Amino acid sequence: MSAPAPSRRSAALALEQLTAEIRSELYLLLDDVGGQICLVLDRGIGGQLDHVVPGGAEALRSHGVRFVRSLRPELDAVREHRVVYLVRPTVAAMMLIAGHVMNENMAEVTPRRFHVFMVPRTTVLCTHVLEEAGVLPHVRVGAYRLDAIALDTDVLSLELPDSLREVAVDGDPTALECVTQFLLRFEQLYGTPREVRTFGTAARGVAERLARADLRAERARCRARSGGDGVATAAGPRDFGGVLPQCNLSDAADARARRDVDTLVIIDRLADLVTPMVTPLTYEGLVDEVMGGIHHGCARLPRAVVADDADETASAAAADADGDRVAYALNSRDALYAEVRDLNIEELGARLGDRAKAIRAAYDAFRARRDASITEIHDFVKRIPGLAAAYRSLQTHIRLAECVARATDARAFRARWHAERTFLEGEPAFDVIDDLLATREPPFSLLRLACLASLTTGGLRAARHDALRRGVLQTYGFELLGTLHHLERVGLLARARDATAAGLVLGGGGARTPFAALRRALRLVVADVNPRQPSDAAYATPRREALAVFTQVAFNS
Amino acid sequence: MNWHVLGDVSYQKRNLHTMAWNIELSNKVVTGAPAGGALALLHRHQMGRKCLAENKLLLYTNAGEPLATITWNESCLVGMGWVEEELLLLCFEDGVVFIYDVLGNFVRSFLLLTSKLPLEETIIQVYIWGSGLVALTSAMNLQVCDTVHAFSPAVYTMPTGLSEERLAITMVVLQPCFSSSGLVEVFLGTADSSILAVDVNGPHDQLIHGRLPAPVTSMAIAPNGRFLACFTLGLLTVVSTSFTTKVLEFDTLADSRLLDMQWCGEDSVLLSWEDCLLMVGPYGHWLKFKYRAPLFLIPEIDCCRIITDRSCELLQRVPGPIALIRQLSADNPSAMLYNTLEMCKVVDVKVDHVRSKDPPGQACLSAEILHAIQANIAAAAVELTTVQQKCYLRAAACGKAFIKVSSAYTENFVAAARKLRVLNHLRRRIPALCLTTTQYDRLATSSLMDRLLARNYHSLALRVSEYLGVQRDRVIIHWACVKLRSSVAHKSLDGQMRPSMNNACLKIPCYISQIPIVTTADVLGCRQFAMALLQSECSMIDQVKLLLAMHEHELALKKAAQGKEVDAIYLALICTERMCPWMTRNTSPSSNCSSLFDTIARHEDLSNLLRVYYQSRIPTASSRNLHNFLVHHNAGRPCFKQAGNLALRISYLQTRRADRFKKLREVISLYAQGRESQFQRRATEDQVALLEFQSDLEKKYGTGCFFDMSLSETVYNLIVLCSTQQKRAVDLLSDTNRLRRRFKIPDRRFSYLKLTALAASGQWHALRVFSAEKSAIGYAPFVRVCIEYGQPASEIEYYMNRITIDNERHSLRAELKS
Repeated sequence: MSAPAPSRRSAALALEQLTAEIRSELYLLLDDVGGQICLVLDRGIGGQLDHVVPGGAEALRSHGVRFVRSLRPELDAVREHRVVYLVRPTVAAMMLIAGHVMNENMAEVTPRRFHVFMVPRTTVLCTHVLEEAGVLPHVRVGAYRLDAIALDTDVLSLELPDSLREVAVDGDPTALECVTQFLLRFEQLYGTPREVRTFGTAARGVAERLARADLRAERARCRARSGGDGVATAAGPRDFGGVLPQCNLSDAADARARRDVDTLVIIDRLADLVTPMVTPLTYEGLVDEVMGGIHHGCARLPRAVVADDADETASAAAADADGDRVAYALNSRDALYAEVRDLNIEELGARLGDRAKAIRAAYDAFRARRDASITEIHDFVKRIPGLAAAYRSLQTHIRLAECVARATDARAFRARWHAERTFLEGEPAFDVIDDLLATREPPFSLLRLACLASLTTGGLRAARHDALRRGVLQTYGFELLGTLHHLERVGLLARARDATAAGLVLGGGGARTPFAALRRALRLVVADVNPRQPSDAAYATPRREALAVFTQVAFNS
Repeated sequence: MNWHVLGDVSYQKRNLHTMAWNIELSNKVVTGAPAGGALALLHRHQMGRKCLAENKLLLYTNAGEPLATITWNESCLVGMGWVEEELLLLCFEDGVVFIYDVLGNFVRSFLLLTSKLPLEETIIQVYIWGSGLVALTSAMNLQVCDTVHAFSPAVYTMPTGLSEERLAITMVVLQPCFSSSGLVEVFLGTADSSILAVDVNGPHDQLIHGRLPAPVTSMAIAPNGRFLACFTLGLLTVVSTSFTTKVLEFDTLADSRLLDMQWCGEDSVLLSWEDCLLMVGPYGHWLKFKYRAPLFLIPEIDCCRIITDRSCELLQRVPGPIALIRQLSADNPSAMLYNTLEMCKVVDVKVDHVRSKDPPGQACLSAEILHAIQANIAAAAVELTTVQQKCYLRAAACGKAFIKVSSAYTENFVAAARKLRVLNHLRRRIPALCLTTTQYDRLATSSLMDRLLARNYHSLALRVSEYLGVQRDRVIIHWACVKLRSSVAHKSLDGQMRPSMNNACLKIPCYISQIPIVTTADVLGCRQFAMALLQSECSMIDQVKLLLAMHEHELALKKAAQGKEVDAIYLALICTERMCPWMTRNTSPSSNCSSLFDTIARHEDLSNLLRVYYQSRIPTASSRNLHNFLVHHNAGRPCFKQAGNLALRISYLQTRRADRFKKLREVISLYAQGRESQFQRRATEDQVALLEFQSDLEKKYGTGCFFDMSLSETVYNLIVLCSTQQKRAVDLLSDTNRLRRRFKIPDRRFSYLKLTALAASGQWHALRVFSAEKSAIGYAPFVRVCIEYGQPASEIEYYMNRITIDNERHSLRAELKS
């Protein structure tokens, strides 16, 4: 569920505006608490804050933050420090906080006050949990609207990793409300889009919520126009001296009248479950797949890959080492990465080689000219830092590409990729799944392939379905019964008869399986492509391609 | 000009209103609300004495128009006073405090004496200030309440250390905003001629015995909290409230009893006797005003109101700007500007003529004229009479003709004019709110509105609010609520009143939040009307909140489901659950609750979120509630599958094996009831069998490596165990085969398991034996495993040769070479 951006290279919107707003909100909130602060962060929030506060711990320190802790059952804070939580509004987090408060305030005469800020907003449920635990009097509850972080120059992420599960399995639409709230804020900054297009039920849910919020906002504007209410009452201006309170709404109205965004396309993940089940072949996709995942725009890479000289660690990469892994930012600010991130792995080696040659040529060309004038030398020296940085980045990426290639050359990877192709091309090879079960592959990768099989064939036949499920339970343990149930609920793993629930919403009908129909209609799978000169994005980048297809359909329909 | 000169400052006394009442004040007690508020009148005998007859207290405006009458029975009143919100506090001997609004409506009451105190302790004296109240008890303790306006005011005790032998005679309070500690500080004049400063940390004797000729009989604190005036035996002493400096000592030479002593502004003290009023300035200057009738003083922050039976007067220091302009022989530019205008009125002098007389130096001049304009605007703002206000404003306007002025001056002018317009209106006989400009500036607009609304002057309030551009909807809502109340109170009017009211209310544009109106309507029992109004309320969560407050749970649930807002839904669910203990009961719930249940079950969002709510707190009792919901109350469509899943989760929380088995059997019986969950039932049955099998194995082989392993892991472990317990290898293998048969492990999977287990535990001989059988997986995996564990080439070659298909062998060799 994200707005498709036209191009990665040139940002369509000034996303820094949003980031700056979120940052200043954090500072306001910390300054409001005041004093010395112990900041307690929920899982994942720390990674998001890195994008919001570029200065990291130093910047926070100037706003009173003395310690940063992660949310754990034991609160490890000095008594004089004020405790500020930044947490996701989950019941589990609230229980932990309630535990902290009770431990701290049970015996004390002067109870300590805690500040809980929920990200991105407070919920009735969480407040209720705190109230029920009896700690609400000791806690100040507020919201910190860390809606989205700019992962790249043109990508915003809401960082709601559990949203698919919440919406599709539990039927809990909280995530949709988060999306709606964010889009409203987005509109405040970048204007209301002329048109909204949706794919999938959840996307429609978001659009409906947006429409309702618009209606409410319209009413609120009427109210404000008729001559101030809440604002004036709450502030109680002592000396208004007859001057009319100025409504701040004109600014907001201006922003909404802007049209930085023409069309907003909202896509439900359920509308296309096939793509994430397929192993990607682009450089970026494989780094995510093989190197332990890219989280919040950062990959944790082995130290040997990132740096071999000392000054490297001090560069753009956030260098906090845990074990022998180092966080390395992967985004389009790195010019080389921007160029190669979407390349097929086959093509990557050649491109990196070209780059290496180019840099060497620049040095050599200069060295070859003995009779360079002073100005020429001066010009070259000025270029050296840029060249050096490019060279460092190049080295890192060459080493990283080697790691990735080593993984992709392995037999298991090739076999797996081959199996995926058979499913995508409509000639399913189910015995591969059985073999994976027999050799006890990790459950995640097995289930992923099984889901792909179910999705592309329009559901598994009853006998095969049962055999698969039994096999999974017998091999990996009975605990996976719940997991299987959830996969079935989402429609990832379905029986043949209820395969229509598999969430393939684009067209279909007529053919035996919806996916087969789609494959024909949209030419999703291209039979043979020269990987070095792809004419079609399909072979190289299944993920980007899916997004492109959606966009195409959105504008043609 | 009716100015009274006191030292080098002037005071003016203005008659604000002639009283409309016909009351003799000689036997009355009068208190007035701060900031020009209403007056409360009481018969002198009613104070501090128990009257058997019905007691009556009268409320009047500053113009002597009656507002209301308050009555009570028998209790002995010890004190009354107003707080800033214009609420009247009546404090009785037994510690009860009643709070009334300006129309005599009862607001609430609270207790000053807590149950901890002995029964015979009573209240003997009360001091009421801006937002709080201090009471002196018969045991010489102080009961303090800081926040009278709170819904349930908190009362705390401050011990004074005094006793019956050393009584406190007078009491004043230094407000927390003025005291150095930020706490309420009470000054007590004691019977042994000393003064005690008491705060919550205890008493602090100021040790001035002997310096005063007699016990202090009266005390008053200046409006700025810096000075304390004490009166004893005709002697007035003013000291700083920190008791460090004595500011003034003044002998009044009076021998009759002092009636009252108050501050007038911040630099003079008023003392009143039966027939006269004495004003004492900071340097011992004094003024005497003769009065024929008794008078009452009401201190304000910048002046003092004087109430007599004929009139309401205002005594104030002449405001700075006016003094500057109008003092005798004034020759500053401001006064010149004013006088010029006066002259213009008498003789038709051209402005040019005046201008021509101007001294040279244009720049200096224009600055002076700007200053003069400002001064005249300021003077108009603080002037009380309309005629004079106009003079000042005209002078300012005239000044503007001389020079070019910036827009800031124009805005000042307009602001002053607006302010005056509102003030003048407020000072009329109705509503007779006698505010000075200083008081008006201090008073928030919202509290000004409160005062007008409390008097039910809706049309005036509406006009003021429109004029000032604030809080218009608040006025409308208040009006609607009052109308509703009165329409219900007068049954006779009901017939015509209610339809018109309905119309009026429903016509209110939707941008006004109607929550207060709906609440009022509901409180008054007009449920249907409230519902009709509710429909037009725009905030979903507010709608749900209201419905819940009305105990319309079912409707609230439906509304929430319709609105699809998670917060609203949770609010409805949590509240419904709290109200209705239906979830906790196994038996079928009462009819009311079951319909609520049906509503939840029928709406997907509701039931989903209820499940999430319960699931998030599984370890607690809510799991049973969820179970009941899924099985018993789901609108006749029990979800056995989900109930089974729930029971399964709980089974994993059990630590004892016996409990686990018991729970798992429950799971089976739940799954068995659902048509969709037959696979789950079989899987669970298998799991129970497996767990039993594993328990047996652990007993048999004396290891703990089986329980809770998956089937594959169990087989693997059994084979690995052969390497250490070689004597029992036969047993182990037969158990392995039993498992294989019982759970129908496919051949390929079993072969892989055996292969990896044998290789990992180094049983290479056994692997040879195993390979002698016909392999279900071919021999390539054997080769790979040998290479992985670094077996000699002969071993690899042995298996390589077993591969029968040439093609396969060649490709494997090729793969291994690369």
